Amino acid sequence: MSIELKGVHKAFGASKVLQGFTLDVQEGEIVTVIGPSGSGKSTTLKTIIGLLEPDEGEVWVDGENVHQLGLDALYALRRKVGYVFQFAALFDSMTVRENVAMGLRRMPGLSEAEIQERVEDALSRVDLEGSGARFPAQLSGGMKKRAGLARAIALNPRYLLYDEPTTGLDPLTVTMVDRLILRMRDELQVTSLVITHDIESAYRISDRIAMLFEGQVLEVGTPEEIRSSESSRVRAFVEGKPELLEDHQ
Amino acid sequence: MSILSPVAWVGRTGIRIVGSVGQAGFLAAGAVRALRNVTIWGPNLVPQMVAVGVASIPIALFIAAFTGIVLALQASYTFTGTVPLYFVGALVGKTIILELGPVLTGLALSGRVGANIAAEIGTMRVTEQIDALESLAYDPVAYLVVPRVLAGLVMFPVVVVFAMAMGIGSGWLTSLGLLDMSTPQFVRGLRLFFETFDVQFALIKAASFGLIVTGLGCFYGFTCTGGAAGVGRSTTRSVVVASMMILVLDAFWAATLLRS
Repeated sequence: MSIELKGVHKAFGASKVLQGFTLDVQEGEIVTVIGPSGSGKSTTLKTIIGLLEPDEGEVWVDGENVHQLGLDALYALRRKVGYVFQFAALFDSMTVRENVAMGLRRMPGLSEAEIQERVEDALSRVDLEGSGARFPAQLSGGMKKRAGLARAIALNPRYLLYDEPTTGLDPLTVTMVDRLILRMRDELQVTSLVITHDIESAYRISDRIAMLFEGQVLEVGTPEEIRSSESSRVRAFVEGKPELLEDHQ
Repeated sequence: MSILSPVAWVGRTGIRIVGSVGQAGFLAAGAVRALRNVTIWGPNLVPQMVAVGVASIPIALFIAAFTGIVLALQASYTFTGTVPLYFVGALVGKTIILELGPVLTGLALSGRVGANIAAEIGTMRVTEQIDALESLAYDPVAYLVVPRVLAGLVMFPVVVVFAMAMGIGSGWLTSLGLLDMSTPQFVRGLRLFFETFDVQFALIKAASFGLIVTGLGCFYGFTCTGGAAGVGRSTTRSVVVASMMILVLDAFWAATLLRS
C-alpha cells in the first residue's frame, strides 16, 4: 500500500500551483519533498487527504482513489492518515490532552480508558508527559509542534504527512523530531511524506527526496543522488546558493 | 477614472453576491446533511446553548428593561389628556411582544453571538484548525455549524421570552412609580388587546433571527481568508448582514402573518 500522485494539477484563480505533479511513496518509505516557498508543497499534502480537490490528475492512498471516495469512505481513509500541520493547528479552546484525544474519539470501539492510555503514550513519545493539562496558548512553539505530532501519532496511522515538522525548532528538538519520524517507520512501518525546507533534516530522515519546482517534480533520488545532482536548480536550493540558479539562467 | 468604472463595480459586486449566495446555499445543504452525524454535533449542543442563550440573557434583560421604561413614559406623554392612561399597559405590552422584544434582542445578539461565532470559526479557518478537524475525520460542518445554528434556533426564543417579561415588568414598575398608575390599571391595558398569537408571532420571529444570526456567523467564519484582517472583515460583515436581515425578516413576518 502506498501514496501515489498522478499528474496532479491545482490552481487557485490565476495562480497555477501544481502542474502535473507525479510522485509515489512506497510502503514503509520516507519521502521528503523540498522546494522553494510557494511551490505547492502544502497544497500537495492537502490534496492527499482530500482537503483540496485537484483540478486534474489522481491521488491514490492505500489503494483508493481519494477523490472518488464518498464522505464516509474518505473519513475512514483519514483515520489511517496522520497529518502534522505546519503551525500545529491545535484546537485552542482545548487542553493538549483533549487535542490528542480528538482523533481517537472518532475511532470506533475505543473505551475512554483506552483513549486516555493512548493519549498519555503519544504525549510521552514526544516528551510532553507533564503538559497534557495545558492549553496551546501556554506552550512554546516547539511544544506546540510536538503536541501536533502527538495528535497525529496517537491514531497509530499507517501514513504520516508532515508539513514542515522542524521549521522554527531548536536543534535539539529538530533531532528529536527527526528520530521520531525514523522511529515511526522502523517500529510501526509507517509510510511518511515530509514537506520541509530543512535540507539537513531531509538528508537525515529520507529514503528518497523529491525536488518540487513550479508545480512539478524536478528530480527524485536518494539523499546521495540529490546531494550530487547535476541540476543547477536542485544544487542552488540544497546548497543555498542562488548564484547557481543565475548561472543557469 | 473610466466612465465604465461604476458599471464594472456593479458587475463585480453582483458576481460576488451571487457567489456568496451559492456558497451559503452549499453550507446550508451541508448542515442539513450533517444533522445525521449526531455523535459529532450532539456533545457540542448544550455548551453552545449556554454560550448562545444563557450567556445572552443579561444583555437582553438590560436592553428590555430600559425599553420598557421609555415605552411607558412615551405612551403616557402621547396619551395625556386624550386617551385613558391604562392604555399605557396596552402599548407597552403590544409593542414589546410584537416588535421591540424580538427585534432589539435580535440586533443585540447579532453583535454578541454572530460576531463571536464569525470570529471564532474565522480564526479556526485561518489557523488551519478546520483543516485539522477534517484530517481527524470530523465533518467540520457537523462539529461547528450544526450545534451553533440549533442553539440559535432554540435559544433566541427563550432569550426573547425573558426580554419580553423584563420589558413589560419595567414598563409596569415605571407606570407605578412615575405615572401615578395602579397595577389593575396597567394590567387592564395589558389585557385589552392581548392575543396569544402575539407571543407565537414573537417566538417565530425570534427563532428566524436565531437561525440567521448564527447561520451568517458560521458562513462568514467558514469563508474567512487572509489572517487577522480577514477575521476582522468576516466579523464585521456577519454583524452588518445579520442586522439587515433581521429587519428584512421583521418586515417579512409582519407582511405574511399579521395581515388579516
